[in-house]
Amino acid sequence: MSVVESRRRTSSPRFSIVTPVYDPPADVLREMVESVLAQSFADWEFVLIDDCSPSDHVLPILRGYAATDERITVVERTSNGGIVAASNDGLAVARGEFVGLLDHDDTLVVDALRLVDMYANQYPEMDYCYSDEDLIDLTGKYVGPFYKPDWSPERLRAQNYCTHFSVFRASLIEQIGGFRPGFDGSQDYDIILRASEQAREVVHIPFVLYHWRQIATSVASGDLSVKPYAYDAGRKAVEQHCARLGLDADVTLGDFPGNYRTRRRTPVDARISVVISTAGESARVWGVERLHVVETIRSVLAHSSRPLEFVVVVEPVTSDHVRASIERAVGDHDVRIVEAPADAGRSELVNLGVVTATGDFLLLMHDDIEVVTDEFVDELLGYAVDPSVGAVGCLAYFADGRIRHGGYVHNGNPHEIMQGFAGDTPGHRGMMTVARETASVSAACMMVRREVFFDVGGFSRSLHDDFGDVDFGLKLRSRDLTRIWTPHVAVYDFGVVVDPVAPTADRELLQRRWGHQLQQDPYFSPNLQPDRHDWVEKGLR
Amino acid sequence: MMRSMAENDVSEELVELRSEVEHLRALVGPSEDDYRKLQLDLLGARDVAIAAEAEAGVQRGRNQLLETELARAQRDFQWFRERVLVRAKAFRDRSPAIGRAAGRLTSR
Repeated sequence: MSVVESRRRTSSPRFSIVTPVYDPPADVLREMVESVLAQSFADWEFVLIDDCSPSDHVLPILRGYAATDERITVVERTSNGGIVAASNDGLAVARGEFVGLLDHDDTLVVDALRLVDMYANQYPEMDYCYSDEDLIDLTGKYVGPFYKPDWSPERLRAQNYCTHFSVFRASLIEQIGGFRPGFDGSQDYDIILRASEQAREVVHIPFVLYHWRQIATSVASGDLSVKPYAYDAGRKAVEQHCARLGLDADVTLGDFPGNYRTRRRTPVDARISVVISTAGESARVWGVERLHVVETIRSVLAHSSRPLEFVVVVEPVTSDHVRASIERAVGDHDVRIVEAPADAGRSELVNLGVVTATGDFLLLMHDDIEVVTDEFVDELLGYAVDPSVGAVGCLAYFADGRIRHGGYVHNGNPHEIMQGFAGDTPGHRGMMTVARETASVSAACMMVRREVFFDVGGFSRSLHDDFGDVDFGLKLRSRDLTRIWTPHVAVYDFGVVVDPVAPTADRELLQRRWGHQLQQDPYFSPNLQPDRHDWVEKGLR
Repeated sequence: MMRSMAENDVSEELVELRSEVEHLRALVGPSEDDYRKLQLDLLGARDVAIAAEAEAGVQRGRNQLLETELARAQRDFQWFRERVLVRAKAFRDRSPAIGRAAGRLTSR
C-alpha cells in the first residue's frame, strides 16, 4: 500500500470521507468525487482507496484529483483485498474528527457535511449519525426517497435502514476496531450495529444527504440473487450483535432481500394471563354466525401450546349461555370471570381484568379476534421480556385480508399505519415486513409486563371508549419504554374501526393531554404529510 | 337341515334389526355421517366466503393504493401549478403579450 498525498495539512479536519474504489465507470467515479469537492462545508479530507482496480482509467482520475486539491488523499493498494481491507486502509490514514462513508458510485448532496456539522454542534455527544437517502436510477434520476425514523434499534436488527449517509465519530471507530473481515457486502451493517452499541448518542438527520446509485449489481437493486454472500454476512452481523447485547435469539434471513428475523427465546415458565372483555356479542363473519368471545378464546388456544390463564371481564348484558360457553371454550386452562359494573368504559374493563389477573405478562385482547399465527404468544413474549420494551403489538387484518393495524403513527392524530392497504403491502421501504418501534400499538392484541402496566397507571379511565391504547403508548413513551410492532404475529380483528379525526370527547381529551407528543412521532418523518397513515411525502419544495 | 333353519333365523333377525335401525334413525334425524357432511359443508362455505371477502379486499386495497397515488399526483400538480403561476406572473410583469398567453395556459 502506498499513500499519495499532496501538501497534507498538519491539523485534523472536521470530516474524513472514506471511499474504497474498485473499478467504477469513469463518469460515475468523477460524479462521486465532484460531489465531495462541491461541498458547501470546506473542512474535510477525502480518502480514496484504490483496491487494485483492473481498469486503466481509475488511478489516473484519482491521482488527477489528488494533484488539484490538497484535501484529497489516494491510497493505492498493490493487491485486491476486498471492501473491508480497503476501507480499513482508508480508516488508517483518516485524521478527521468524524468519518463519513461514501461508496464509489454514489454522491453526496451539496450541503451534506454542513448539515452533519450543524447536528454535531447541536448534539455534542453525537457519536454516530445517519441521514435520509434516495436512489439514482439507471437513467440518472433521483427516485425512491427513504424518509427514515429516528433511532430504532429493533428495526435496525431487522434491516439496515440507516445505511447512507453514515458518519461516525473517529474515536468510536477506533474503539470498535474498524471494519471486520468476514463481513464483506454487509461490512457497513456490521459496523453500524457495533457502533450503535457503544455510541453515547445516535442522531438521525431528516434530510436526504445521499444519493445511492441503483445498478444491477448493487444491493440497492434489492435483488436477492445479486449478492447472496452480503445477506449471509448481514445475518451473521445481527446474530453477533444480539449475542453482544445478551439477547438470546435465533437470527434468520427474512422474507424480503436485506430483511432479517430475530426470534428471541422465551422463558418456559413465564406466567401469562389473557385478559379479554366482552359483552357476549355475536356477528356473522365469513358467512358464519360467530360468538365472538368464544371464537377468540378458541383461536388463542389453537395457536398456543403454553399454559394460559384467562380473565374474561363480562359486561352485565352478557347472557348465562355466553358465560357457560366461555367456561367450556377455555377447557383445562384457568379462567376467571369478572363481573363489570354497568357504566364501565372500555379502559376500565381492561383495568378490571388486569387487577384480577395473576400472570407476570398480560396479553390484552379484544373479544372479536381470530389469531392466525402459530405460537404467537412466544413471539410477543420474546419482546415483552426485554426491560426496555413497554408493549408489543401485532399485525391485524380486516376480515377481507386488508391491513387494519400496522402500529399507530402519531402525526397530528393517532392513525393506524397503512390501514386499508392490501395485506401483502410492504409499505415504505419494507416497514410492514419487519418488527420495529412504533408510537403505540393496538389493544386488540397487545402484550405488556404486569409491572409496566401498573407503573404507568394502566389504561386511563377518563378515555371512556376509544384511544385507551394510544394514551397507554404515550405514557410508556414518557417512561422511555419502547412500543414494538411485529408483522410476525397476525390476527383478524372484526371490531369497529375508530375514526381518529372524528370530534369525540375521547379525542378531545387525548389532544388536550398529549397534543404536542401527538405531533412529534420519532418514527415518522417531517418529510411526510402529517395526519395521513400512508407515508405520502410532503409537497415538493 | 338344522343349519339351514338357524341361517333363516339369523337372516330374519338381521332384517328385523336393520328395520329397527331405520326406525330409530327416522326418529332421531340425520346420522352422524350426515352431521359430519354438514360440518364439512359449513367449513367449505366458510372457506368460499373467506376467499370471496379476500377477493373484495384485494380490490379495496387497490383502491386505497390508487387514492394514495392520487394524493401524490395532486400534491405534485399543485406544486407544479404554483411554479407555473409564479413564472407566469414574472412573464406578465415583463411582457404583457407573453403574460396573456401564459395566463390563458394557467387558467385551464
